[in-house]
Amino acid sequence: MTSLLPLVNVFNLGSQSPWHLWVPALAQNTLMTWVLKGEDFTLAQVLIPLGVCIALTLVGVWFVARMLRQAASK
Amino acid sequence: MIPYFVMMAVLYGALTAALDTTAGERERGSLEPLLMNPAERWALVVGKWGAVACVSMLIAVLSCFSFLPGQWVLRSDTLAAMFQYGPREALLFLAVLLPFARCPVGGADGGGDPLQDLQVKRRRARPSSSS
Repeated sequence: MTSLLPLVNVFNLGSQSPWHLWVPALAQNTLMTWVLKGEDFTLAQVLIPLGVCIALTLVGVWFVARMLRQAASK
Repeated sequence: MIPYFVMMAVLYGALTAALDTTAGERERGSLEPLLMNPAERWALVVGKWGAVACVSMLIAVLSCFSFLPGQWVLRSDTLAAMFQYGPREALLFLAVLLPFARCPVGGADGGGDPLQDLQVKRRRARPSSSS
């Protein structure tokens, strides 16, 4: 699923929307494409995917820890 | 397509490590002894996540910087002129990729639910304690 997300840019024929920065993998693909095109991006445009990644990391670690706790208690 | 391939390198490079920390441990039978340790569950998970994140970030660094010597073997002048990739671009790639590399979006879901299987194994291993 994650590996298919960057293909949104390919099928969109290069048109980019602001919501792309909120989707993991798609945001990184969009930003790296800008770098290769020589376009600059602002700090806020980097902080959005960073925040999404941190939130997903916390949710993932919490979820797996909860599963482990349940497995150990049963 | 270059960003796509760099991201795939990070994703699939870390996927094997992520699978090994969950499904791999279950298959080797080392997950149960690990859970018997008097350590907090979140500490175990954070340790596993940290190990995979380190592997993933190392792959990201290698992927981003390997394009620099890779340009030396470009024979076509046209291609070399089109591909403007220097240390600045490599560092910007890294700034974008490092948060992604330590984010578990790839998911180690290739081995089913190892913890559910573990619970089933334990129930089978208990010799009818309730009866």
